[in-house]
Amino acid sequence: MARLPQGGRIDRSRPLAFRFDGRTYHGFQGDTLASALLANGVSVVGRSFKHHRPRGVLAAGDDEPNALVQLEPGTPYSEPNVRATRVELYDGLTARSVNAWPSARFDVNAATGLLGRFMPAGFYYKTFMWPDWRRFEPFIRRAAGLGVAEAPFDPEQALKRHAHCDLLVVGAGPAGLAAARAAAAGGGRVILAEVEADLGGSLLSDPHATIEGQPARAWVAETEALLAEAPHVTVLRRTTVTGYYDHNELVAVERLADHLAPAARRGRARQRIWHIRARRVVLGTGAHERPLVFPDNDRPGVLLASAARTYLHRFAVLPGSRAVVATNNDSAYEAACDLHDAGMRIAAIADLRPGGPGEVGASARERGIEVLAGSGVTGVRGRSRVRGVQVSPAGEPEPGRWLEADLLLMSGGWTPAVHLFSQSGGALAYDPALTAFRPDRSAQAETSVGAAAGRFSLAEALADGHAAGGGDPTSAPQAGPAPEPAPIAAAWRTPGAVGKQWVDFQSDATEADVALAAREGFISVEHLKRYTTIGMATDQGKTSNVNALAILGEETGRLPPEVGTTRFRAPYTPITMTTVAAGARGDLFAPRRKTPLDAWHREHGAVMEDFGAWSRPDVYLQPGESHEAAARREHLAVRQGVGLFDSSPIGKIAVSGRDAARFLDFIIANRIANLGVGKARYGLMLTEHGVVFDDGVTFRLGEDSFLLSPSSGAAARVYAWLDEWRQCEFPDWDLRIADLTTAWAAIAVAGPRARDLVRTLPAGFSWEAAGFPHMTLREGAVGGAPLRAFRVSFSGEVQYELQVPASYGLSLWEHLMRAGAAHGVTPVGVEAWLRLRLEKGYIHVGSETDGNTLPDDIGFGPALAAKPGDFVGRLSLLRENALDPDREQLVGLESLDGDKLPVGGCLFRGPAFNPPVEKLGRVTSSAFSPALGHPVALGLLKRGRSRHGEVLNVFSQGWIGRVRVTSPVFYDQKGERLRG
Amino acid sequence: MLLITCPECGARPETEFVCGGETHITRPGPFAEVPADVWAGYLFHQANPRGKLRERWRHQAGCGLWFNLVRDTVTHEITSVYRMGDPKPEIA
Ligand SMILES: [Zn+2]
Repeated sequence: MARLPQGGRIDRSRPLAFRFDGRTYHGFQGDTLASALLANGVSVVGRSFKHHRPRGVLAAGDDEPNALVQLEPGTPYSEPNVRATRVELYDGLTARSVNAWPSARFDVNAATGLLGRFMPAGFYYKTFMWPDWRRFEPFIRRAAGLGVAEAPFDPEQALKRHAHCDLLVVGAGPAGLAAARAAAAGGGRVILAEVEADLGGSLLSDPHATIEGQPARAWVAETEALLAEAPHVTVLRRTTVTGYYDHNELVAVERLADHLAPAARRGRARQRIWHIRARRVVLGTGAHERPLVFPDNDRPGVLLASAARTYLHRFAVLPGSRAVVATNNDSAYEAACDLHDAGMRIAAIADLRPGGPGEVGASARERGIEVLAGSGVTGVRGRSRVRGVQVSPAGEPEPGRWLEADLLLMSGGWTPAVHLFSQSGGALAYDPALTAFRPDRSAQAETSVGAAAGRFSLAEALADGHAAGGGDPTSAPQAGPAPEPAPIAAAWRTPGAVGKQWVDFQSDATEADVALAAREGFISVEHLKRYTTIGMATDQGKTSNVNALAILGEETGRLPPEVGTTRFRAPYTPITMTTVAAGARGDLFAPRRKTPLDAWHREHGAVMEDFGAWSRPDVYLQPGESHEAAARREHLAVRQGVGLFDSSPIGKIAVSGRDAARFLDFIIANRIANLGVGKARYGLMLTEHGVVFDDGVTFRLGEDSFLLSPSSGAAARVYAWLDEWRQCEFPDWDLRIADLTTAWAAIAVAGPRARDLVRTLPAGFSWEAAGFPHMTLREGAVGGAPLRAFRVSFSGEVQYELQVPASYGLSLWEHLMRAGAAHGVTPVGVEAWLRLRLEKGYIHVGSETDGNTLPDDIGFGPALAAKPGDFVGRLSLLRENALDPDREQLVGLESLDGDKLPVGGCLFRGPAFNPPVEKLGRVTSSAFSPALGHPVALGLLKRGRSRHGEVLNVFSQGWIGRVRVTSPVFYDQKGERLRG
Repeated sequence: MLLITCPECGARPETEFVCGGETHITRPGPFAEVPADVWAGYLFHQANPRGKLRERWRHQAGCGLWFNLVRDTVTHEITSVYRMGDPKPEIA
């Protein structure tokens, strides 16, 4: 009978049904999944990660390594690797064990016994090496692994909140409550975050504790009421503080609705992520009990002693009927005595200390419990459930006696939960009196209190918390008397015993794995962690960290402080990505920029694609038309008639002021100072390393007024770049810089009949070539709106780019479509537009350039060398590497086999591809050229300018083709058409 | 996440800012007279100290101001915030 008829904090009037591994069980409101499974006598709850050994519940909180479940499998709410100790039971809950098939009790992989022998420490590093990796990987992936991310889209919602406070208290155990209570009395803004639904922490599992002369539970209730009434105090329940970041920013996850069935939480947010900036932080995060390391210490029915006490007092569950208790410290005696009083038989307490317990030993002996001082566990019988425990005198060669038991409770001492402290940057110190690391020096405005500081007594916890909350030391809450303790004995493993001794249950690593790693030279604790994967599972080694590093120390003749500990990382416990993202997913993940013509495009068959932040038409599909056919049709329309292209995303950066000309002459690599008013010039922008960072046309609107047109994807970056130089280097210059990119709509009218179309606009200036030649601009007005017209050409044909205020964009576009109907005007998408420029050999920054491309590589060397003044990046163009004749240069590539060339394809000299081959360059842009009737490409090629006419090969993913190197300009090499 | 005090806007979270690296670096010139090693020093040889560093930041998602601050590269403590052109504070 695992569930006691009375006691605990469960509501017996509200029975709940739930399913685990296909069977139906019953629990009560107030249970966790773990307590309900124990109450139903379910001992095997999962299989171990590598060896597929049956595993049972070990702990009662966040430190649980074994009882991981797939919650609500096969539904949209399916969630992998949830700790059963943190799942509040609800009616109809369904869970499945992970890493076991078909179920935790009958697991095929364990039956074959295949895995254990061949997965020693470093297994992954030794096995997963090319080419064997390919043979092992599918098998390993099937056999090892925890739960699965089943649902492609999480239907749950999460909220996000930012908060500020004077004091954030993490943990509502005695120390945290005392801190919050004292701080609330002081009037500051206080946030108290507690992982459980109920406040009290360890006091919930300790019915004997007294505070201020009353039962501790009464003090908790009183404190809870005071906090509820206090202004400026926020108590967050079911809230895990998962990360401690710089400048006292902490992240917490509040589980708003996890305790409800999925159907009941529909329509409400499941969790809320908090970003809390605190003036001061109090860490009352408690401590984790350590397992003892002895043979078969991972058998179901081996529990942490404190966990058994928690299951008794909070859930009225006896996780067995006859227990052996193994310990190296006093704390396990409390569990032994309480469980005895609740009706459990305690076969013996094996205490590794030759001197035995402190005053607490008397309580055990009063109850007739046998205390075996100087003894430890050397064996466990039973596979899916403990059946017997062998207890031997420590250090003696003779094996001891077997005691009949179905439960083995262990305590290897306590490790302060220093995770958040460690994340905050604080320094840890090894304390031999605790046999654990505890906080030493703080790095931020933070105080660890009580057990989290390695001060385990209730009196210390209350005093610490009260002081950290700003309370007057004379008024600290007083704890009742406690028995005089005896010191803990360091005990890290059981030498000479036969059988595997587990150190990290979730990573499935033994003390022999630690020893093997040490023998193979992995003696740094960080190397040990990666080599054995100890501490790298989802529990981050909460139960294994100290044992592992101490054993490593024993293997290498060092003490734990010399070995040191690994740095703890956020999050403290796993967080779902839904909660991390909060609302930022799907269409809300990042803002999508739309041009003023967006709706028109969508209504006219446009296939919209994302180009950087912009949503733009890729092609406009006519009924029955393929993507490629549409691109070719649009392309030919520009070559033979007239096309309209929505170029609104093009950058529009206005620079004005008396110093504008000399500023731009410095920022832009090409000459700008001598550009005439009303004229336009193409130019490059370089970084100070000389690398091409953007290109575009600069227009001179007036003596002191310029407009830059950086590429659409670079507008914001170029604006920031100019502004940095203005603010930081030229603060005294007369300069004004504004990013007007989205203020104006831009429409390119391109093609031999473009002029016929723009003539329909009475703009107040002549559109004819004589008065408005290529690379000039005109300003006027049309239909009451200001109009800027630029003669530039990206397409290689006569092209006018018309800019009007964004709100006039649609009416201008619609006018041009109407007026152009007689000329066969065609809307053109990005795909055709980029092919037009490819035929002209115009670079596209980011395609024909990368982080190494210098101006000379793309043909601008001579122009820049002739410039008289300084400009950004100029001196870097004289670096030795910049002058290397072997640099890659822009070329055209003609496919000799008629195939479209793969972008990224490697250029090499034939005849066959026998690695290693010298890579001479690569294909950077590629398309079929409707004007030429065959595929063309641009590329970067070593000494490319001197290779025109040469035949090379291209390799890409097993495919090989032949190309001829040409000039990058495939179409209208003299540039007559665009000037027309 | 750092909490940075913009001289215009006050204390704001780090995500609103971009870091422009070490500040008070003088661009060498006139360009025709700059030896290669001086240019290399300007580009690549930064102090990168373990400790206090003067660096410049922009309040990107705010007022757009570039300003200077002193940050400890170990503790991230920001001990001084000052405007472009203000005198360079001494650091220990
Ligand atoms: Zn600001």
